[in-house]
Formats: sequence, C-alpha cells, structure tokens
Amino acid sequence: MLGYIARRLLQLIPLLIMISFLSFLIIDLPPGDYLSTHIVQLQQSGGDIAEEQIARLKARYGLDRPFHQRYFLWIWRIVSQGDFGRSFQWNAPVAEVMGERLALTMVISICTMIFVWVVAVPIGVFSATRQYSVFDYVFTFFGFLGLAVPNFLLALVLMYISYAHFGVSITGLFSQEYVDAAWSLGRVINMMQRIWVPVVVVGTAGTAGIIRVMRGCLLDELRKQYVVTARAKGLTESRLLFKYPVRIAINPLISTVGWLLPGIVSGEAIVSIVLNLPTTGPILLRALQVQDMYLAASFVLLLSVLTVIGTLISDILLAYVDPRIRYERG
Amino acid sequence: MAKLLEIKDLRTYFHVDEGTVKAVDGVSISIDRQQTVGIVGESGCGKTITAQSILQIMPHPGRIEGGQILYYPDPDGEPVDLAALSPRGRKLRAMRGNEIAFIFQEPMSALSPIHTIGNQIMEALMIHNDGMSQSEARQKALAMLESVGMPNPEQRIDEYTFQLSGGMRQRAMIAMSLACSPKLLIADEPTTAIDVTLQAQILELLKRLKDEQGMSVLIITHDLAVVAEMADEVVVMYLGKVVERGSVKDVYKNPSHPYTRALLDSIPRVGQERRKFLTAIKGTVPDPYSIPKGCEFQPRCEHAMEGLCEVRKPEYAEISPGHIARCFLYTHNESEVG
Ligand SMILES: Nc1ncnc2c1ncn2[C@@H]1O[C@H](COP(=O)(O)OP(=O)(O)OP(=O)(O)O)[C@@H](O)[C@H]1O
Ligand SMILES: [Mg+2]
Repeated sequence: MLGYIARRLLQLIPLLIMISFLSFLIIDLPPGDYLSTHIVQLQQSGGDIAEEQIARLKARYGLDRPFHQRYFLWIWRIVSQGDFGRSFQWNAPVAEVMGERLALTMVISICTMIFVWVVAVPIGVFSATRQYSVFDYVFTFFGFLGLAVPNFLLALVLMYISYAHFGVSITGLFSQEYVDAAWSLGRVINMMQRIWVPVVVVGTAGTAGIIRVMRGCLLDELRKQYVVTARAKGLTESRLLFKYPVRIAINPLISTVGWLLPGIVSGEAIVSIVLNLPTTGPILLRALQVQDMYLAASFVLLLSVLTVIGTLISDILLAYVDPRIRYERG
Repeated sequence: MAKLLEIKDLRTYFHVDEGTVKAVDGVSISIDRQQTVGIVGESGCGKTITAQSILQIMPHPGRIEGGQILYYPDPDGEPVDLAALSPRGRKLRAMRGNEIAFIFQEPMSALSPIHTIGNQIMEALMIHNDGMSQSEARQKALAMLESVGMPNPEQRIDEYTFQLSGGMRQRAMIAMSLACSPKLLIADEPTTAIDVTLQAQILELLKRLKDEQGMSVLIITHDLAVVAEMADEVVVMYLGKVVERGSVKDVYKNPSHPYTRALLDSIPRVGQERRKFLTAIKGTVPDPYSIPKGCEFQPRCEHAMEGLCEVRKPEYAEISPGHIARCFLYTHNESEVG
C-alpha cells in the first residue's frame, strides 16, 4: 500500500509538468495580449504613451521575451518563491488575487461534496432496495428534474423565494459588515449561514447524478450470488445490505471524488456570478475574457493540480476499501 | 429412519410481467436423518428454486404459494413448517446457516470479493453464537479450514477469494457452511464450477464431513454420476415437477419415466464421445409461459400416447415400494389391463 502511494506520487511529477506547460500554452495561444489591448485603449482615449513607457511595461510583465523563457521564468518563480506573476487587470500579484477566492471555492466544493453524498447515498440505497416503489418513482422524478434544471435558474429561483417571502437577500457569502472584515469566528458563522445556498444549488445536479449511479450499482450488486450466500447464513437484511452490496456498490462513487472538484468549480462559475459569490469562477471567466494571462494560467494550473490531487486521493481511498485493487496494483 | 425434512406439494411461483413462472409446482421430497438425496434435471427445471425455497432465499419476486416444508428439529418432536414462516422473520433466520446450510456452485461469486474468507467464516459463527468473541471465532474458523483440508490455513484465513484457487475457494465455502454444524447441508451443484480432478476430491470431502458430522445432504446436480456416487435417494425434476423418485439403486436399474431414461442414455460411456447432456434429448424445454396442457414432457417424449398425454396431466404411479414415476405408461396400462 505504501509502495503504491509512493509510486503514484512519483507519477505525478511528469504529469504536473505537462499540465503547467499546457496551461501556459493555452493561455498564451490566442493572438494579442492584455497589454496591447490596454495600450490601444489608452491611445484611443487620447493619452499619448511614449515608446519607452510601453517597453517598460512589456519588460515588467516579461512580454518582451520569447515564449519558452516566459514559461520557465513563471514556473521558476512559482516553485522558488510561490510567486505566480502579476495580474494586469488587478495590478497586483496573482497569489493575492487568488488566495481567499481559491480557499472559499474549496470550502464550497467540499461542503457540496459532503452535502451530495449525505443526501444521495441513502436515497440511492433506498431507491434500489425498493425498486419500482412510489418512493423510487418520486426520487427518480426529482432526480431527473435536478439534472435537467440549470443551476443558475435554480439559484435565481432560490434568491427570489428568499427575497420575496423572507425579505432576506442571500447573495454573496457574507453580509455587509463581514465582506471586507478579517477572518474571525463571527465571519465564519456568517459564512456558514449563507453557504448552504450555493451548496444546494451546485449540489442538486450532482445529487441527482449520484442517486442514479448508486441506485444502478446497488441494483447490480443485489442480484449477485454473494447476497444470497449472506442471507443463507442468517444475517438480517439491514446488516447484510450494508456489509456487502452497499460496501461494494459505493466503490465506483469513491472513484468519482477526483472529478467532482473540477465539475463543481466549472458548474459553480455561473452560479457564483448569479449569486455574487467571491469564488474563483467569476474572475477566471473575466481573466480569460481580457487575456490577463498570468492570472488565467495560474487558475487553470491550480484547478488542474487540484483535480490531479483529487484523483490521487480517490485512487488511494479506492485501494484502501477494495482489496482487489490494492493487490492488483500492489 | 427418522425424518429430518419433508417437503409436501411445494409451489414457488414468480409473478412477472410476462406471466407466472411456476418454477416449483407441486414438489414433494423427503429427507431422512443422515441421508443423502440428489436432485437431477436439466437447466431451468427448478432445482435451485426448490432448494432455496426451503430457507426462502429465492430471488425476488419468487414466493411460496402453497405446500409445506416440515422440518423436524428433534427426531421425536413436533415439526416446524418453514413455508409458513416469514422470509424476513427471526425464526427463519435462526434456521439459516445454523440448522440448514447452503453451499453454492460458484464459490468465486458466492463469496464476497472484498472480505477475507476468515471474516466471512467468523461472521457465520458469530451470527448464531451470541457472545462468541472474535478470538474464539477465529480459532473455530481455523479449525474449520483445517478440517476441510485447506492448505496452510493460518495464512489463507486472511486472504481474499481472488487469491485462492478454485478448489480452495470451494473448501472455504464448505468450511463456512459447516461452521455451525447444520443438520442439513444443501449443496447446489458444488462441483460444476471446478475442474474434473478437483471434483472427486470435493465429493470425497463432502462424504467424509457428512459422516463425521452426522448430517443429511441434499445435493443438486446435472451429473447423474455424482448422484450415483453420493446419494441414497434420487429425485428427477422436469419443468418444476418431480417426474421420478426412488432409491438410487431402483431408479438407475429400472428408470421408469421416459425423461429419466433419456437422461441415463445421455451419460457418456467409455469409448464414446462425450456428449452434452442437453443435446442428447430431442427438443428443448418449453418456455415457462407456455407449459403444455397435458404432460409437460409429452412434446419431447418418444412414448407419447396420442389422445392421452397431450390432454391430461399424468398421476404418480408406484413402480416398486418407494419408487414412483409420473407417467401414463404405468397408470394407463393398469387401467387397460384391469
Ligand atoms: N428471478 C426470477 N424471475 C423469474 N423467474 C425466475 C427467476 N429465477 C428463476 N426463475 C425461473 O425459475 C425456473 C427454475 O429456475 P432454477 O434456477 O431453479 O433452475 P435450475 O434447475 O436450478 O437450473 P440450473 O441447472 O441452470 O441451475 C426457471 O425457469 C427460471 O426461469
Ligand atoms: Mg440451479
């Protein structure tokens, strides 16, 4: 098991190098850059910029160097100083722009994941053990509804209901007095009171999906011979259910932990815009639109790295719960 | 000898969208203490469902719709009707694995892939022995593995099914079934999934354990040679019904139902090419939704009598004491002669 984890960690290194290169390449590929757009805007508004000023700006952002130099410089600074470069648009270090937003995105993602699992797994189990019952049909119906309704619509509806009926505006993650406040217990509590809205909104589609997966896998497992064996031993139905088929049916879900994260991050972008949440989604979108390349590349890089780490975590979990995988990959 | 189990006119049906599958339709089988009874018949004739009905572990939506399953816990005591117990109830659960135990055809799929065999054997012990500690259960499980001839049990007890060979898996399955010293062991095709050289070993093992533990065995198989080797009594089933029943000696010497004869004829002999049991009998089993109106075997029967076999259901005829066959060849002749 330890050998397996060590090997997986080693495999990560070339993968991460590839990812960083691709992130940078993709962001750099489209013609034009933030600076040229900026200069054109300045000139149009009547400002006259001296050649040397342009050159100074270019040098400052490294735009006067060839692609590979810019890439290596970027990576070198990240690795050696944790410096992700400067954001043109914010005129601030990328790390500063991203910091809290990335953390909040992860908080929302993790809460959403917990919410999805806590809701979906029991419903999936219940649906499978009572296949074709009223319960099963009702949840199948809501499940498809959850999958079909776009998240932003759900967000709008929730906002409307909350505002119209309770007079509470639920946009943002913090109320007025805490938006720019430093972290404190009060701010955490304040966030927790509001975080359920994006969690529910982003989580519904995921919940619906996982109910379907759980139900399907469990139905498959329930037909297997080892269930009959366990019953023939004299186990009660509930002990049997949770010790054997549920334990096995949950394994495919564990392997989805890894890609739940990027799914939530992208699904969350538009919801965050609607709900006005200070997460990564909206500024990633904005950074891409204005070609704020270091910011955008850093976001893409970090989200990819998180995905890779997520996949690693789910692989390790899977090897931990399923001896077949543990021994096969030894 | 004293009776252990008496199945009387058992009916287990599946109500599905396409209609009703009468998987077991009026089956009567009786098993004495320390006796071995074999059930033979083609695939789909209801052998497994008959056996699973005894503990009501047949697949959904199978249900017992009639008949009795009388189990005699003491030789002189009152019987319990297992068919009348609730399939989820405590009473039936107390029987499962404890008084009556199962071994299945495919030990690979019949054991959990993600639990060690030790875990599964210990669980069987701890369900039926309140207050047995983990370490006691482990000791007992080791002893069981030893007694079924598992090589290197100390190591194997902590292994998973995919780490064991086919023969070892079946031994683990047998160890698990016998952990609580059941009075009746139901073996559903215990040797079908393992290779020929191991089959003999497993059958030997079952015979030895049966004598050691003084239990009765109900063995289900396709293989008439297995029945001849293991059983005292044989029950031949066709489409959910018993078509012939008697001591192995009587039935093999004087097979009376045309189906039994066809089965015996299909056994490969020395020098003859090995033929598949199924292809040896002409025609195929009718589908369970369109059972013939008369005798179920009539469409495939070489001796079918026109105007009789396709219109009416045959009755059981006694061929010799304890040997019966469900065929007009016997009841018909009698009425003609007498
Ligand atoms: N879940 C089910 N739903 C509907 N019908 C079923 C179900 N399980 C079994 N049956 C029917 O019950 C009948 C008897 O099946 P059973 O498994 O007892 O056959 P078998 O004699 O054990 O055959 P085999 O030798 O292949 O194991 C079959 O005709 C089958 O179609
Ligand atoms: Mg069967």
